[in-house]
Amino acid sequence: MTLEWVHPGLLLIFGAWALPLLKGRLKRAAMLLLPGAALAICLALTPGTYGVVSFLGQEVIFGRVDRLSVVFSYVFSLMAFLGMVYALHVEDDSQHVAALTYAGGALGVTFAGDFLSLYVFWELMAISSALLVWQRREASAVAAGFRYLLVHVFGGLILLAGILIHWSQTGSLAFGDMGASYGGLAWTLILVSFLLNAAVPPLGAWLPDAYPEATVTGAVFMTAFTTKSAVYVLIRGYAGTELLVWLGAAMAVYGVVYAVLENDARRLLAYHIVSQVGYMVCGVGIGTALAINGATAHAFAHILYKALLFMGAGAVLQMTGARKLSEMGGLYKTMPVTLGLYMVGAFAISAVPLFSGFVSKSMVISAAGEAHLGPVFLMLTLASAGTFLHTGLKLPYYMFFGEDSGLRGQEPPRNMLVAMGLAAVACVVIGVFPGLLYQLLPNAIEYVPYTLQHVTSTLGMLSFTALGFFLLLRHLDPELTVSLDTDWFYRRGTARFVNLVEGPLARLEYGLVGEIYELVMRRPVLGAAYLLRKLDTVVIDTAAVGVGRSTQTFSRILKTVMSGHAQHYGLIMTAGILALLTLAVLAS
Amino acid sequence: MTAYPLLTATTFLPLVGAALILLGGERRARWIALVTTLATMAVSAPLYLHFDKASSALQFVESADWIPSWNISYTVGVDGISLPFIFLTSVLSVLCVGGSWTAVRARSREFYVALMVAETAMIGVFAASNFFLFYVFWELVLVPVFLLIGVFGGERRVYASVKFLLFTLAGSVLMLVGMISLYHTLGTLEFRALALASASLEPTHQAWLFAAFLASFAVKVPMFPVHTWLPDAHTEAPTAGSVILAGILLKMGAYGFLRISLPILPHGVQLFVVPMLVISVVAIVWGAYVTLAQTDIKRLIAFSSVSHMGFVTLGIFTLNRSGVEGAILQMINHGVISAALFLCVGMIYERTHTREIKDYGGIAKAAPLYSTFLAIFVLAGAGLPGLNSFVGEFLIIAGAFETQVWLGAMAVWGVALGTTYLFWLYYRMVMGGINPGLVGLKLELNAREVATLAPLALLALVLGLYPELVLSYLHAPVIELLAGGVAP
Amino acid sequence: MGSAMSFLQRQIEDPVRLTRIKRWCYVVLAIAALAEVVVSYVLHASHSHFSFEDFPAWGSLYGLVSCVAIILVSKLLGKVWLMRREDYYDS
Repeated sequence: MTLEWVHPGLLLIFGAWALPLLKGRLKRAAMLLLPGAALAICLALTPGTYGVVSFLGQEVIFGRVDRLSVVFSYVFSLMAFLGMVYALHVEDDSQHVAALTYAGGALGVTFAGDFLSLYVFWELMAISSALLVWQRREASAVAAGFRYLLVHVFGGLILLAGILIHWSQTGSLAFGDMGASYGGLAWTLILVSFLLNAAVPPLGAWLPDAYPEATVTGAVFMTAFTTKSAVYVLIRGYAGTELLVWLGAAMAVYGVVYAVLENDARRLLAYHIVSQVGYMVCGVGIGTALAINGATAHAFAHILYKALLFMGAGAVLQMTGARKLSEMGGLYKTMPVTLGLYMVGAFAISAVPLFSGFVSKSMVISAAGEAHLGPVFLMLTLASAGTFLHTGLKLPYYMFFGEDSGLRGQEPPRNMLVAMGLAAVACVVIGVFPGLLYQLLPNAIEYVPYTLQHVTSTLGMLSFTALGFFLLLRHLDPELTVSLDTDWFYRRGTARFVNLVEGPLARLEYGLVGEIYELVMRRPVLGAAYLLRKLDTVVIDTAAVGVGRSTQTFSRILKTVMSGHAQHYGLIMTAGILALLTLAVLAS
Repeated sequence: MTAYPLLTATTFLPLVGAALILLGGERRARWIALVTTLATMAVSAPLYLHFDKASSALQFVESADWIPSWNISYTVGVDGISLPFIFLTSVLSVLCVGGSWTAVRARSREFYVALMVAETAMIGVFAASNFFLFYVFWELVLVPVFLLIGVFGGERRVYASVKFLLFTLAGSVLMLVGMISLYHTLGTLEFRALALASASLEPTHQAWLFAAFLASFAVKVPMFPVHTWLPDAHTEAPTAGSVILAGILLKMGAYGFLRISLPILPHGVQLFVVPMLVISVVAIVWGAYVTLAQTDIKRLIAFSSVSHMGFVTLGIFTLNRSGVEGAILQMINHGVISAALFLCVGMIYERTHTREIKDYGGIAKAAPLYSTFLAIFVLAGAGLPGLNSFVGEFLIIAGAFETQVWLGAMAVWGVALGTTYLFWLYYRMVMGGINPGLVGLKLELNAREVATLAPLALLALVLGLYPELVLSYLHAPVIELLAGGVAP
Repeated sequence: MGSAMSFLQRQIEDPVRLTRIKRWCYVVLAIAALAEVVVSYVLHASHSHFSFEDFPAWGSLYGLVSCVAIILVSKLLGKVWLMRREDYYDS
C-alpha cells in the first residue's frame, strides 16, 4: 500500500482521538485545524484510485476519487468545520471525539470503492452518532440513543447480508452501479439498508426520534452525515431505479405532513430532513444527468442550510432551555441575530430566489418536469409549499413572534453566531452565484435556474402559501402531543417480543430440555449410585455375621468411594477409565 | 529442529509447575503458577517463530515408543490448525492465574495445581498426533476441571460439576468405542495415517464412527440439544474455571471435528452435513434468544457461548474454505472475548458479590476504566469491524451463503441478536444512574486487573486489523483438509 | 441592532402600523400573482413542461391550495389517528 495521499476521513478519526490529550487554546485550534486540513486535502485531490489494500484476498479501495465523491467530500469536510466552530464552547471532549469520528466516517463512506471499507465506515458512523445522542445524558436521550443504535446496527447487518450474498454471487466486493443485479436478493438488501440510512419511510422513524434528543451541537452534525452519505451511495449504486422516484416523492410529502403535527422544534426540523432528502432520492430515481446533478446540488445546499436551521433552533434551546413551540414566543426581542440568521436558513430551504435552495431544488423539480412525471412534479411542488409553511412561517412565528410567552433569552456565544453566520453566507453565495456550485457537479449540464417564469412562479407560490398560513393560523397552534410513526413497531412491539422470550422460550429451555436431562442422565446414573450404596450396606450387615474385619474394612473403603466428595469421584472416575481402557486393549 | 523436545516441554512444563506448587506453600502457590504459565509461553515461542506456514505437514514432531506391541507411540506434532490453539491456551492460562490472584484464598495450592494440570492436558490435546494420546489428554482434562468447578465453584457447584462430568463422560465412552473400532480396522492410531487410509473404511462404518465421535464432540462444543451442561458449569465455576471452559474446552470439541471427523470420515461427514448445519443454526438462534432472557450475567455470557459455537460448527460444516477458516479464526476470537467477558464479570463480582443484572447500573462514572474495557469486549463480541469477531463472522457467513442462502440469513439474524443482547447487557450494567446497592463500593480496576485485561483487548484489536496473523497459519492445512475428499 | 429591533417591535406591536403592514402584504400578493400572468401571457417567457403550468397565476394558486391542503389533511390525520398524549411511550 502506497501512501501517496492521506485519507481525510482517517485524518479526522485519528485526529479526533488525539483531542482529549490537548488543552485550552491548543485544543480549540486543533478542533478547527483538523476539519480545515481535511477540507484542504479534499480540495487538493485529483481523480484516481488510491489507498488500495489487499485483505482476505479482496481489493479494498479506500480512495475512489472522482467528481461525484469529491463534491460530497467538500461539503462533508466544510460541514465538519462549521460544526466544530459551532461546538467550540463545549467542554465535553467526548462530544468532539464522537463528532469528528462521525464526520471522518462519512468521508470514509464517500471515498470507499468497495463494499468492505464501505461497511466498516458505515458501522463507525452508526456508533459515533449514537454517542452524540447519548451525550446529552438525560433519560430520554439514553433511551433514544439506544433505539437509534439498534436500528442502525440492524440496518448494518442487512447491508452485511447483502454484501455477502453479492460477494458469493459475483465474486467481487467492488462497489459500483448495482443495476446488473436488479431485483435480486443482494440488490434488495443493500438498497434497504441504504434507504434506512436515508430515512426513507417506513424505515426512517429513527431520525425524528433521535435527532431532537441529541446534544445541541451534536444534532447539528447528525443532520449532515448519515442521510447525505446514504444519498451518495444511492447515487453511486442505484441511479435510475424507478422505485426511488415514487419513494422520494412520497417521502417529500410525508415529512411535511408530519411536521404540521409537531410541537418540538427540532423534531419538526427533523421531519423536514426527511422531506428534503425525498427530493434527493427522487432525483436519484429519475436518473437523468440533470436529476443526478440536482440530487447532488440539493444535498450540498441542504447540508448547509439544515445545519443553519438546527444551529438556530439549538441556540434557542441552549439559551432558553425550551424545545417545545408551545412554550416559546416573543423571542425576537431578545435574540434578533439568531432570528435573522435562522431566517436565512429558512429562506434557503424554502427555495426563495437568491438563496441556495432555489438553485438546487429547482434542478430536481425541472428534471421531474423534463421526464414528464406529472404527479411527481406536483408532489414535489406541494412539498415545497409545505416546507416554507413550516420552516419559514410556522416555526419562526411560534418561536420568535406570536404570543409572547414571557420567555427571555439572549444571543448565544459568539462562536455559535459565527458558525451560523458562515453557513448563512454560504447559503446566500450559492444562491446568488449558482455557477460556483454547478461547476462542481458530476455531470456537465447547462442549467439556468433564474428564468423569469421560474422566479415569478416561485414567488407566487411562496406568497400565497404565506396567505394560507395566516388565514388558517388558529388551526396551527402547537399541541402537547406526540405523533405515531413507524417507530411504534419497535417501541411498543419490542415489549411484546421480550415477553415471548422471557416466557415460553425460557420455559421450553429449562422445562423440556432440562427435563430430558433429568430423566435420561441424572436420575438413572445417580439412582444407580444410590442403589449401590444401599447394596453395600446390606453386604456389611450380612458380612458382619460370618466374615471378618477385612470385609468391614473393604466396605468402608467402598463407602468412602460413594462419600459424595467430589475429589474422590474424580479419582475413581479416572481409575475406572484407565481400567476400562486396559480391558478394552487387552480384549482386542 | 531445536536441541530439546520443544513441544513436549511446552506440554509438560505446567505439570512440573504443579509438582512445585505441591511442594511449596500456600502463599507461594500463585507465584509459582504465574511463573510456570509465563515460562510455558516463553518456551513455546519458537513454535510460532519457526513454523513453516507454507507446509500442511506436521511440524515439531516428537516421537517415542510407548506401547510397541499395540503400535501405540507417544507422538506429538502441530500443524497450522493446532498451533493457534496452543497459543490461546498458554495465554489464557497466564490470565487465569492473574484473574484468580485474589479470588482464591483457601486451598489455593489445590486450585493452582488443578489449573496447571488442566493446562498440560489442554495443550496435550492440541499437540497429540495420534488418537490414543489425544484420548488420554481429552479425558485428563476432565479431572482438574471437575475439581475446579466442584470444589471452588459457586452455590450449586456439585450439581454443575456432576452434570458436566456425566455429559462429557457419556460422550467419551462412545469416542473410546469408536477409537477401538478404528484401530481394529486400520491397525494404526496416527491421525495422518488414519486420514490417508480413510478410503478403505466402508461408508456405513464411517457413518457409525461419525455418530460415535459426534456424541463426544457435540457435548464438548456444545451443540444443541446436549448443551444444557454448559450454563450450569460456566456459571458455577470460579472465574478461572469459566475462562478455561469457555476459552479452550469448548474449542476442543470443534477441534475434534476438524482433526478426526473431517479428515478420517469424509463419507460420514457427507451423510451428516445437513443435520449438522441445521443444528448449528438452531444453536445460533435458540442460544441467542435464551441469552436475551437471562438475568444472571455469567449465565448470559455462558448461553452466548452456545450461540457463538453454533457459528463455529456452521462454519466447519459448510465445508468450504471461507467457512472453515472463518470457524477456526472465530474459535480463537471467541476464546479471547469470552475469556475477557468472564474475567470482567469475575472482577466486578469480587467487589459486589452479585451476578444479577438488576443489581447493577450506572457503573460508568464509578469505574470508567472498567466500563471502557467492557465496552471494547462488548463491541468485539458484537462484531464491530476493526475488532476480531467481525472477520470470523464475515468469513463464516460468506461460507454459509455459499452453501445455502437461508443458512447465511439465519447466521446474520444470529449476529443481530448477539449484538442486541450484548448492547442491552452493557446498557443495563453501565449506563443510567448508579444502582443504590453499589454506592460506596470501590468498583474501579486495580493495576493487576488492568494488566490481565489489557492483553485481551490488544489481541481483540490486533486480530481485528490483522486477521492474517492467524489466518496465515490456516491456509495450507485447511486446503489440504478440504481436498481430502470431504468437500462437496 | 438595538434600534432595528425596537423599530421592528414598534411596527408589530402598534396596531395601526400593523394594519398598514398587512395592507402592504396584500399588495405584494397581488403583484406576485400579476407578475406570473404577465410573464406567461404578455412576455411569453414561459417554458412549461406540463399543461397545468399554463393556468394563469399557476404558482400562486397551487401555493395556496397546497398550503391549505397540507394543513387540513395533516390535522385530520392527526386528530383521527396519529396524535397521542405526550407520555404515550413512557410505560
